[in-house]
Amino acid sequence: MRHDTGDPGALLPLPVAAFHILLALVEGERHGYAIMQETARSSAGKVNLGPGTLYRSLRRLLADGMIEESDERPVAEMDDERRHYYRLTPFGLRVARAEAQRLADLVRMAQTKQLLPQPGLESGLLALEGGA
Amino acid sequence: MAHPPRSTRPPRDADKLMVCSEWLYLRLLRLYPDSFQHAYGLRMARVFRDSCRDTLQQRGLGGLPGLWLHTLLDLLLNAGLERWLALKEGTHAMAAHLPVRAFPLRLWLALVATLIAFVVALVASLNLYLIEDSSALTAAAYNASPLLRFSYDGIYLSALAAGVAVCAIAGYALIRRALLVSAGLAVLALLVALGGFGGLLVRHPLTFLALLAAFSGLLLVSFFPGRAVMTRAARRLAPQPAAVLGACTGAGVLLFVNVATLVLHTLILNPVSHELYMQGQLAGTHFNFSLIAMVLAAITLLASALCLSRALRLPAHQ
Repeated sequence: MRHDTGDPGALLPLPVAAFHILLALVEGERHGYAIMQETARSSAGKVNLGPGTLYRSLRRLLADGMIEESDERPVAEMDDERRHYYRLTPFGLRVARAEAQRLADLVRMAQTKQLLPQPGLESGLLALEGGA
Repeated sequence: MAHPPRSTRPPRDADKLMVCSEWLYLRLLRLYPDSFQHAYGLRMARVFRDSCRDTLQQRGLGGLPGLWLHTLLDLLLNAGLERWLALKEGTHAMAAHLPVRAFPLRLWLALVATLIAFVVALVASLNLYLIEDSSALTAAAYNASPLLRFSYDGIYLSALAAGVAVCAIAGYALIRRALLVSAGLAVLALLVALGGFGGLLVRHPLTFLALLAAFSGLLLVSFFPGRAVMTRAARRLAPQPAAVLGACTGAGVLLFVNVATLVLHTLILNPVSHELYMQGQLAGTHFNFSLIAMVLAAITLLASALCLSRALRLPAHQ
């Protein structure tokens, strides 16, 4: 079912793989393997999507209207016609922002509960450690 | 575009390994449901080939087992999830067709109630039959009232016809072809008639013909309401459950005739031959076998009728 005109909050929380795919597509359209590489790179190797997870997530994101297949092709020498490129839709961008905000709120809550250092304190501690 | 395809190639000696890996991965993709494999199989194989190529370039042959382990786990997990999803969707699709296929719960209740009513009515009929057939008082009582003979035959014939109707229920429940069931029932009815009162054919042919006519009439009496109910039920149910419901109704009609003739016979018997009537009494009590059996038959028949009427009114999806 497509939610592209609906409330982004209805799709939250996003699965980890789906959120990483949306993040990978924020900078522009990519094909499947490029999404996989970008996800591994941006997560410092902590998130390694396999082909199955990648395409099951892509199918879900396509069905929910968060991404779409791109008809535009790169310049001829860089293109491979067999590849399928995906790009974020405006709705997908709103969902990604909502999920990022949700995670940020969680981090703030953890900081309030002193499970994580406060941003100011953390930089101060780092400066002290550097000075010592 | 953020990532154009690479033009670099892995060492030539690794090419075969890459081709073999891709070939094997393509075979393993069959673990996915056909629809998913058709939509994404080639894309996944391409991604896997790219992963193989990069792994071989960056880590050499030693990197391949790790890639395969990761890919296999990914494949098993996601293929399993996709299979589960396909199974759920298949189940939902079946559920969507249930209104025309299902054997509703209330229909089962109607079926069970009808069978119990049949058993009880049969016991009541046999009880009366055994008492009267073995008694020396019977002939005198029947001579005193021809109606006793008539009601006795009515009990006997309706019990036989109800047996055929119960076989019709079983036939429609087990066999999908209505024509085959109808032909089988016609043969069965003939066998029941010959077995039940076929001996009269030699000694009293006219009596045999009269009983055969009455037996056939009873079957027709049960057939038409059963047919009407089946037609009505077919608007909500699939043909098979509708036929079973119709056969239940037909059996119910015959059981009603059976209980009615039992009551009539008992009401006539007591004034004509009290001694014969009292032979069914339980020792030391005021209870009579026939009365108990008839009350039970009436109750179960009522339950059967209620279940049948509810089964006819039920929403299609139950």
